[in-house]
Amino acid sequence: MSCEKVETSLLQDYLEKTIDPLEKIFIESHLNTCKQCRRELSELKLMFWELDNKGNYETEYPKELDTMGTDLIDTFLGKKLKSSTRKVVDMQVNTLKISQKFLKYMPGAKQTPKILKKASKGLAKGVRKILIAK
Amino acid sequence: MVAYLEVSDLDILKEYKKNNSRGLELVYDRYRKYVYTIAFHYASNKEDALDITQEVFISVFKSMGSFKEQYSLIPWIKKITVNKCLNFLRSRKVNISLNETTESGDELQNVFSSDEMTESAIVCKDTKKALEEAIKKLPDRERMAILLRHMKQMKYEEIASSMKLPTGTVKTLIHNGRKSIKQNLITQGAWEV
Repeated sequence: MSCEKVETSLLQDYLEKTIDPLEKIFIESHLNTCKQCRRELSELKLMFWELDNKGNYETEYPKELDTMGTDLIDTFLGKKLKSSTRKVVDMQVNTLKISQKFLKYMPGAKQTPKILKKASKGLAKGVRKILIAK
Repeated sequence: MVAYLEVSDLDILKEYKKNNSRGLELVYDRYRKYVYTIAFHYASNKEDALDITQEVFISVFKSMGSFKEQYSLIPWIKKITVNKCLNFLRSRKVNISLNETTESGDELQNVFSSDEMTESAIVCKDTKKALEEAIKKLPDRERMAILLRHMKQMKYEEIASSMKLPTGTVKTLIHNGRKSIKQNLITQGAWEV
């Protein structure tokens, strides 16, 4: 821990050389007299050294990283193909919908929903009866 | 084929226009290690890192067509990687509070600080491991900021734009992250002779 006069983040700025010039003068003179901050600074230096040491981030690359690329590309391009067939299907569905519209103008079309409702109610009753009987 | 290793982003984009699959292959080959390295150190295990890498490249592939030739790919790939990493763990990480109790009724913090745990922790590990441990323990955003700053040596402003955060916030994240790392390295006995 650093002392009360100096925040650790100020020491971090000092090490990274992002410190404001006035604060730099203050820190340098303070370090001459404060043992606690000198210790903190040397700990920070050690840590910076570890953090910036490239060897600490050496990464093993698994085989999958090399092999999965082609699969990824294939599935990706495959999906794109599917989406263009999808477009054709959508267009056909649309044509069907449009051609259905004329059904509205067929004689008796207005009665159809009512008849369907009645029929489905009757059906529901029937099913319930069967279920109860079981 | 001769200049295979030196293909530029511009070449990749031009190739992509001629032949999609070849273009995607080139992007993948050029950036897979870059993406994986960040993902691996962020997620700290192989499986998650591979998952993240996949997600990143699917995003990259999706928007390859709309990418403008005058820009370089790297800042864009960097942003996607950072974004996918942060969202990845956020969606599946289970937070454990130290005040939670185990089935037998002990508080977790007592379990962790019991003799067996501390004894094994005191055994001096090599610093690479210790640093990995310390970084792993950081909150998601602190971990990402620290990795970009120290592993990737990026400037504060660059990190801010990759993480979509104000520079001041990034600075605070990094400062706090370093504080915890230092504390952690000391408790792990990384610098003891």
